Amino acid sequence: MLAALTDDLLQEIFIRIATPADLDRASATCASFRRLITDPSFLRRYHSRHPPLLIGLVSLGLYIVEEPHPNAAAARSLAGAADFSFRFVSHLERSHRHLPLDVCDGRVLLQCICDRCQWCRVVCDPLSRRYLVLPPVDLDLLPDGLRVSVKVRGSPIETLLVPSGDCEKKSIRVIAWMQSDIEAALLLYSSVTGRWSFGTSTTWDALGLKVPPEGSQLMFPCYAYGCFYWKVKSSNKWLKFNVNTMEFSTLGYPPDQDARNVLIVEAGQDCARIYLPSGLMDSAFLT
Amino acid sequence: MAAPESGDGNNGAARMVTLISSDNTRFEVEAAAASLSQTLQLTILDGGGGGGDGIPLPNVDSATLSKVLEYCIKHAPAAANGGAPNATAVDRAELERFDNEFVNIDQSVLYSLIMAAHNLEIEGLQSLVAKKVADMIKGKSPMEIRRTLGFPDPTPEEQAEMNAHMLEYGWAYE
Repeated sequence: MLAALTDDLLQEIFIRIATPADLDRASATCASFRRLITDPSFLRRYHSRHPPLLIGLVSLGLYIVEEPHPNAAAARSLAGAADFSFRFVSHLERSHRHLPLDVCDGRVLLQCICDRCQWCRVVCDPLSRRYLVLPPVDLDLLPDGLRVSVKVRGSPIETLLVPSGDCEKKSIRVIAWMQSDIEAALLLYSSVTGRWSFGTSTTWDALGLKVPPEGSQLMFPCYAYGCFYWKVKSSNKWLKFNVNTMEFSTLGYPPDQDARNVLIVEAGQDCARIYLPSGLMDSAFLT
Repeated sequence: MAAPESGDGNNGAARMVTLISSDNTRFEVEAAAASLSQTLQLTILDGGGGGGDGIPLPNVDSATLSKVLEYCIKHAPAAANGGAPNATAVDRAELERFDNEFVNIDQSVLYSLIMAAHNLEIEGLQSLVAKKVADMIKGKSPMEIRRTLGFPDPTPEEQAEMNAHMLEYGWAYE
């Protein structure tokens, strides 16, 4: 009988399902439930109604929040159930040396540090103890100059997880970006294809950015509403990458803030917000 | 949600309206209670439903309407206080107890209530019944959810799809 409810009424029920695991099981029930639950606008509503809990910090191990923080009990039970030593990643067994690079959607992106690997990244879920070793970045996808810079001069390949946001949480996406004194490029890995693909590239000139010739120009990556932002060193701009349109663009700092370290965070109602770590909320909104 | 003005100047006695179910049973109820329904509120504000007229509800049978009105009568005083910001903890606990017991019902009644709450646009009741179904799904496997919600047994194709989903997203099933 309840199976005969209309789509709208079913979504009103699904939005009240308390845990993502229950929602996932409901989506496996039948094709129409799956269609309704994986609908991006539904997932956006669901995520804004069931925001993730702050549990702690992942560094070399897990540092959980403690009383009187309201999530302390949840954090303790997570810490008991999960394995943040990452020993379940058999790829790491020999060296046990690894560096967490990023955390989102309950997953951790690890860099493996061992003699055998030149470059190795592993995405793992410390709760289910499942993991995925990413294939090496396909340097042939890069523009010629940048490929040479990475291969010959050893320019670093940096990586971050792409938050699932409106997408179905299950697929894993990772961005990798590389830069030289002339240009920058971004590649995207998706667990759906199992491959790296070309995202976009640009020269600093094309973006009107003057960057110093040495070292990494992009700092303090932030993510909000489908876009990554990096502070461009020695400038009052962010480099912005839109994951959906695969485009780079720039964004100026709010006036008088160029000397500060600022972050961009999600502020609800689809507004990205500039956050000043000094504790002040800036009034500027970005969309 | 504001309660309708009792603009008839009839101090003391609360204004009553008559609702007529699909099987022609008449229910006399306080206008304030019936006005929890957004659908009815406008008609009532316009002065409808009084006297011998009654408001026909062709989509709601008498068993369901009586249940719906039980909810409305219980919740009307709190709603009249604008969601009862000054309600005592005891009042709130009592409403919660009432709500829990109210949805402890057969699935066919629950289904009728979902449809009625939707048609009559009674926000609190819509939320209550949807939450009840969401709670029924909690902790169940896809197969158990199907049975709970009254699906027929899956076809071989559907079964294969469910198995594939479990393999792919195994961690939701541990």
